[in-house]
Amino acid sequence: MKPRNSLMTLAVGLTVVAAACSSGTSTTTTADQPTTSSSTTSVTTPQTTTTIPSDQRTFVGADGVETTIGDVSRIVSLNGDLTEIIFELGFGENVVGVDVTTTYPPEAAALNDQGQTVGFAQQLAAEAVLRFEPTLVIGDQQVAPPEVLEQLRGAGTPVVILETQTTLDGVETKILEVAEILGVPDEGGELAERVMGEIDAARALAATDDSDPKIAYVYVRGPQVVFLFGAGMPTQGMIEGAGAIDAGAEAGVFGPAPLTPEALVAAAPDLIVLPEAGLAALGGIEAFLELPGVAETPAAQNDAFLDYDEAYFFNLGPRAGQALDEFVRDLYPEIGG
Amino acid sequence: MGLLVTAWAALSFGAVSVPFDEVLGVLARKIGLDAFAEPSRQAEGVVWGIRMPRLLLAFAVGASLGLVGGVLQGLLRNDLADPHLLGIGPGAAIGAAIGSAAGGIQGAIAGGVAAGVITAFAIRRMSRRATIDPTRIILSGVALGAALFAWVGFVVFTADRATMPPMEFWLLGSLTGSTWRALGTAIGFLLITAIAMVASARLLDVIALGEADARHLGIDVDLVRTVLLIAAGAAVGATVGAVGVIAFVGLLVPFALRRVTGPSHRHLLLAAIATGALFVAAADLVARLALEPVEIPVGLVTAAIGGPVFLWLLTRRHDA
Repeated sequence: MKPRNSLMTLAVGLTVVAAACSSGTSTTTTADQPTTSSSTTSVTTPQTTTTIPSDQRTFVGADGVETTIGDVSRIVSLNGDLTEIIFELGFGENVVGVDVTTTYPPEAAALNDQGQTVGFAQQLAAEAVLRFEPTLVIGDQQVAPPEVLEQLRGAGTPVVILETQTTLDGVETKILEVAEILGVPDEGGELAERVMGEIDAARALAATDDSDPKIAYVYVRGPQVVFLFGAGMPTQGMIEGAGAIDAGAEAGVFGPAPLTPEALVAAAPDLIVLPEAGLAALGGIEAFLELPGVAETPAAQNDAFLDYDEAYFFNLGPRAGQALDEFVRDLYPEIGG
Repeated sequence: MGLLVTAWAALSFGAVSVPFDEVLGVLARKIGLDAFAEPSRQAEGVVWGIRMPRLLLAFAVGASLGLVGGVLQGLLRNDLADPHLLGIGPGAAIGAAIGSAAGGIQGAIAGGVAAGVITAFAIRRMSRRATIDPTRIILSGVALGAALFAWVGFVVFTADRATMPPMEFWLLGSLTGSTWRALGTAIGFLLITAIAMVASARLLDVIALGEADARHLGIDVDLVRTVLLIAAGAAVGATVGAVGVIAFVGLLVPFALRRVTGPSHRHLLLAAIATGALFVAAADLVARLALEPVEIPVGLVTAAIGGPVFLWLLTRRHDA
């Protein structure tokens, strides 16, 4: 079981709303999209935006399927972290469609708002992807159902499925794989080196503090949607990377678990990290403190809460080092420097 | 007629826009004619690779559910008999979920068939004890169904979520993953069971007169029951493995048609095949297009339409 998948499942509630909103806009914007051609012209020529490495490559994905990749002029990204890497590698202009977990960079997030969305990648429909006439579809193992991948490949679209990475060290693999697929391994190597350098620096910074606080990541979206993240989640990598103990994992939680008051009290976190938007939707820290069990934690007694944009904090993309550095400095203000 | 209109709409509309002469072009080329517009590769992939197997699977699943509903209502002499209300669908979903974890869509269909047959026999045991009171059979089925769905939940939540269809799929159904492979695996079960069920239409007419009369006419009622329950369980299991549990088709379609077709099961079952096919294909069209490009579970549509229609038919029956 991949706990990260469960994390994505949590987003379903929000996704339905987001999808409903974006579908509203898509009806108005489809006219601008190249797929809507007049009935006389049957094929629309995709617009090439940046230089395309002309050589063809093959890539064996995590699902064991070998894909031949040539043209990367029209990319559909099915995961927010992959979108970030694609943009960071300079292929942002080529991205024609994204899934709803794409929230960064702003140009990519704007695609979602403009209806250039495939919806939620765990409940994918083939035509939602094909309408962008992609020359490359890239996603990770969270994409479902598998039959849809079969349909896309059947329609002649190259689909690459990457392994889902849930650790800080996995960031390197992820970046190198995306770069290889895009035909820019050198740029990928540089980006991976830079990001891993940032991650290592942040880890080293954290090591200068010899306390090891117990930290829980609590994922909130509203009063009924509260989860304690545990082992195998990307948040575990971030917390341990910051030289702290993951309270959820230590309490035996695997993946995301619906938060029960007693589980939180038993986990006894010294500090709680929350997602920014979810906390705001709940009504802020005051509302969070009113949830059963929260007030009984050491974190509440010390008023020790941190909140970050969720994609920033646990996407494990190009911003992972930066996020870890910020987290470490927030965590140990005395070493801030 | 309705089927043709639905087929035309299902092949023509979707998130990808394909001009109608290209749709015809794809179909023409499949039967060896070089007519209509030359379709683009994408048009062919969408129309033939995605929409066509989906349409045919919707037809097959709808036809089968309508037929099974008609057979069960006759066999149990209970107008409220429905494969899912009786618990066959939820039972099949357990087997399908386990099969799915073991072998994808083909495993799901095989597991669904096996579990569907087992559940159908469990229902038979229950119905034997409560033959006098039809309401009791349904209530038992509802209770059984709820318990069985809980076990589907256990299977889903313990499985690898990357490959296991979510609970939503099993509860509400979806045709999003329809492929030729899914259709090819399911269609054998659906066809064989359909032939068996339609062939026993006459026997159902006789059973409707009462079991004692049927026995006097030399019919082995128990054998008929056994064969039909195997057929119904296998058919429901194949649909559940392929597309999950789609509610209201098996209940509503024969219930509504019975008033029109009269007591003859032959007419009822044939009409149920056509109407069921139309109902599910049309509902799937709504499921695909309502929030395009995002799809909603087809069971939401059949329940949203089927529930009120069923209530209306029930109240009308009281007035009459």
